[in-house]
Amino acid sequence: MAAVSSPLGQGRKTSPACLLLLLGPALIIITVLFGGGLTLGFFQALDYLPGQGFDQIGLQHFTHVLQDPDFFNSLGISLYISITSTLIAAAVSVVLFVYNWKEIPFITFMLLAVLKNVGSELDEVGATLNGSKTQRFRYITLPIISPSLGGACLIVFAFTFGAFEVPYLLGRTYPMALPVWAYKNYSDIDLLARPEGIAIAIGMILAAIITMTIIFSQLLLQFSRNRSYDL
Amino acid sequence: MKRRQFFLFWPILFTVALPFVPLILWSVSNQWFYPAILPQTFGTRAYQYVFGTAGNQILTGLFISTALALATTCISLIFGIPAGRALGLYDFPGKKFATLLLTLPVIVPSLSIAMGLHLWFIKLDLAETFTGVVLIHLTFCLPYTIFVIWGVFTDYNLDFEEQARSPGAPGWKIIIQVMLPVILQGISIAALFSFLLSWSQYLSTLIIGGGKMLTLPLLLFSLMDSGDRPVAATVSLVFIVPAFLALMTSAHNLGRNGMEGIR
Repeated sequence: MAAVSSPLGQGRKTSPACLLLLLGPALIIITVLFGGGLTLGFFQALDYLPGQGFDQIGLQHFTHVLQDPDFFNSLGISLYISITSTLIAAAVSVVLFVYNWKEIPFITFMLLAVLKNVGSELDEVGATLNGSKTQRFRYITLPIISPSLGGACLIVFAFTFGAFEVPYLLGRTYPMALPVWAYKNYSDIDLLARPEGIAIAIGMILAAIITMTIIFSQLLLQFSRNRSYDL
Repeated sequence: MKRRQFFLFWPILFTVALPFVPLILWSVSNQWFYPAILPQTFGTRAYQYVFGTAGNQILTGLFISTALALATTCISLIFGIPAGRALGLYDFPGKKFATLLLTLPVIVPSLSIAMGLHLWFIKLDLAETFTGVVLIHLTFCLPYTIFVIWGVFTDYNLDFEEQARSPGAPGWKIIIQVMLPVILQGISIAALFSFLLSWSQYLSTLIIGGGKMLTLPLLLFSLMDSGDRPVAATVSLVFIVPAFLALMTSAHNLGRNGMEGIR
């Protein structure tokens, strides 16, 4: 892999040994706990526990989940909740941003980071060309922030999609949001129904959807960062 | 400009403060039935219950929550500061991958990770222990800390360290007398984030702690389920106070222009 020159790193280099010493322990902790948790969860969802009589890899939990009409109901309600709240958050933060407000709800923060690189020159040029406020916003600001707005929106989406506490307390009992449904299955008292595997399968599907969203948002943000650098 | 700030400040304060109004009202109500806008009878029954009857349990919850959050924060800082320094100061191959690896635990629901780790922790005798819960909290507190410290180090000037090194200061002295004072404000923000994140964990504490680590959120959820609204509201207020205090202390530490050094 070629050396990455990111605008954040200031282009300094250091020895691999020094990097390993600084970054290594933290990355190991996160890889072991997070990566280990996901991998083990995935194996459990596949019914694969070597040495305990579960030596076969089986997809039955996943098929079970996908055949359950409740899954799609829950998926629907989760999507509905997260899309609505993302859109509202995006709209609000765009408005706030226009007012130059400097507090930091998440999206505003991401947008500010991009705009700090761009500066106000473009907007001033627009003003000298006699562009009205709405015109400047529509043709200058919006195109500049749109990729990072997209990236930030995806992150907020992923965040609300996986949120458990609020839908658990305030949400409807049917259909439940996906994380709530997963937890209900996991903590089911009826051990004969063996629902943990199913619950973990739901958890894995959640994790997969969110991971995809994050990777996609990173790409979008990368794109916006490179572009604002060109400006 | 002043006018504009005025029109922004009050609506925002209003939106932030609004949810607390019913909470406070619930906590002092003895009777509050559906069509009434205000409680029909006021009283301190909920407070008597929380500080009297259930006082011991709440105190224990408060203690466990604080201990967990403090332990998580300390460990996050110990590992997060070096990592944040590496990410903020240097460029290296694989930096984007490291970033992705750090972003994922923050956003992937703790549910997925906790359910996966549960079985493993049971085998390692970590389930239902303090260490186990600290470890699961660390999964998302550590990345948060690293992100904050990373931001601090992007504006960090290495020349200070060079200047200390030229008269021959040893490494540990440079860390304690030069680096730490410069990034202290960033550290207090990172510590605050990490503390609050661990403080408000519910699901991961429940799954890994197995109900043995009775933190305040766990008590709060069981009260919400039991349907005693006034008591639940009072515990919510008790739950908010330490978090609010932590926020205020760090805000005080930062001073009014505290963030300037960091951005």
